[in-house]
Amino acid sequence: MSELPDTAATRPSPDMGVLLIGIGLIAVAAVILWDASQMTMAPLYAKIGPKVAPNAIAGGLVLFGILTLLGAFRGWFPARDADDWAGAAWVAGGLSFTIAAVGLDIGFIPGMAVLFAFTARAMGRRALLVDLVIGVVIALAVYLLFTKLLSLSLPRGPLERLL
Amino acid sequence: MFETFAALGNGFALALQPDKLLFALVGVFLGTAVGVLPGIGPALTVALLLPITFKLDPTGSLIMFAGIYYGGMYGGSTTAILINTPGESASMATALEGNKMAKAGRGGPALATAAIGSFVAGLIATIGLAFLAPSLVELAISFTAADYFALMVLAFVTVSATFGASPLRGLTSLFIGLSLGIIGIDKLTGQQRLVFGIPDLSDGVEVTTLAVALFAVGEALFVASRHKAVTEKIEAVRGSLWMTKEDWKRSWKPWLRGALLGFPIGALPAGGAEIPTFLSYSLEKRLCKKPDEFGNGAIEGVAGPEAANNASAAGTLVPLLTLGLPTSATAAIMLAGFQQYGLNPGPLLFAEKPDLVWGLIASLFIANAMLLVLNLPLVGLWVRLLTIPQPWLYGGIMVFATMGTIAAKPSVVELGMLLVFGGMGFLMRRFDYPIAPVVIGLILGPLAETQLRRALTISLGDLSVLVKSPISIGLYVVAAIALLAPFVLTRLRDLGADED
Repeated sequence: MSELPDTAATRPSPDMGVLLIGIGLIAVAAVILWDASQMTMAPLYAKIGPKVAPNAIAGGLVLFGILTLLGAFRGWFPARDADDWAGAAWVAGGLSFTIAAVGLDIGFIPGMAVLFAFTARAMGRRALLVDLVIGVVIALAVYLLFTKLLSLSLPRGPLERLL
Repeated sequence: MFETFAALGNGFALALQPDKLLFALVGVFLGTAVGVLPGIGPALTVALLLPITFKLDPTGSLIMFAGIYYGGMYGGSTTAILINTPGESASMATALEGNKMAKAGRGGPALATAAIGSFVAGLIATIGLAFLAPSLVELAISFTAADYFALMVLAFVTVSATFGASPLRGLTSLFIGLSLGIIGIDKLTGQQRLVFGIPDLSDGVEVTTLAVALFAVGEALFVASRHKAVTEKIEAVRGSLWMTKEDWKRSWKPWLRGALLGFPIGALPAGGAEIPTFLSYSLEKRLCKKPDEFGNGAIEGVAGPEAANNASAAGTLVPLLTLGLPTSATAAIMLAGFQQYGLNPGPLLFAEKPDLVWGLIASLFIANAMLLVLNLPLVGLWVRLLTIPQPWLYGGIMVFATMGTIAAKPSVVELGMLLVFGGMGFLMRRFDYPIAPVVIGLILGPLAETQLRRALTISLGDLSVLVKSPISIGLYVVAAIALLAPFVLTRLRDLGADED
């Protein structure tokens, strides 16, 4: 709730971010309802089957979605300050690389080293190479600890096959 | 009564075995080390360390868990006192006075009263747990499926709507969690739901993946986007670590009062330790003989809330163990830890695996005692952990978060969920949505659905079965009150404000 509800209520333009959340909630509800409608089952389960919960939950999402849309026009949500999208993008980029490293057999250690260095970059460090080296050391230690000591299997790439 | 002592004795016999003691020690140590890192609360500590317990036997792993839980809580209060960055809202009250004490060179006594207060409160609350659990179990055995469903509805309402900043946002969070809970194969009919032909999704969403994504990845994205790369000032622990005679005199009553406030509130399906900590804070402020010291580092303001925090954490184990009902994010993750071994907390677990349950309760006592012995001498080590620069700290958090997911399930889909739910956690922080209801909705939703369908199957689809027993009706009435309470309170506050 904003600090000045009276002026916020008369604010001419809706809160676009909140508006999108409301639309998103209703869209998710639509997907759940569609998915439930695709289920075919014996009439025995018609009243108490696997469709009941999805339909009820979708109903709740529609209700809260509508209330959120209302909130976007009425200024029910707290004000937000501007974002630094670059920082968030570094973190997301690092994690995306890790996903690629697992999917494309680049290996655990490179994936983790890049994730570490990119996250540090996101938080304001300006020494990507040094952080990459630190990342490799950490990832190597973790890899050896997990695979040798706890005998968990981690994804292996060319580098890990040498160990 | 006598049976409780006998059961607890057996529990101690199990928990005092050398290898179990080692598990408890490792858990306490790791829990404190991770919990002390700024921005990591107990829920994330437990989620991050869950993969380490994968290869242990259930008893050993749950004992380690108990240690991690208590250690994580203790670590959080150290952070709150020394750098005024509470890792979770339950440590906020501690930070208010504790950080002032540290600034005034009384960091040692602040840490000591927090540690001893946590110990005393943990002790009282664990005794409460041990003696309350058997009678609750007996009550729970008489619960029908419809009663269980009503109980879960009540828990849903209280964790999402009653105590948050906004009931709309809390309930929206809960329903997002419930939606995620649908994903996977329906246990009763084998029907695939929201799987979209992706095989990895048919097992459903892992609670740990969701929790780590929301708490760790979401937090990292949020901090990076805020760009508040300001280094927090760490107060050095100067002077004596020991409490003076006066400190003791001023601390012991707040400890007891905090424990008595925290345990019942934690044990009710009310969720969250914030309420008892703030209640304790304002109570101590009112009772304090030197009220002007409040705001400038009054030791009562650390002793009371810390005791309340720990007692309520032990309190949340009451509904978790006896009813299988998680009422906090941490409890939800612990429930996931149980489920990973095919164990379902609830009355049946007490009957089927008494060794495990009572061993766990006994190891809570042991973990509590270990923390007291371990933490004050090691405070120098914890302070050094606090000095890790923020970029490396978050780099490390991301590495551990991702590694845990990879160790559990090395699939691109699982890691993709980490990224997607991380983005969701970021948005939720940005728009001020509470996170715990999502985690609780994910794990409790399917359980509630099972109870609902069980009740309706017995009644052949007749909905009136849901309100047939007095227990159900009572629970729905309380749930309705809990849902309406925030609106009434706001209205009353507005009226009061108008009169001023």
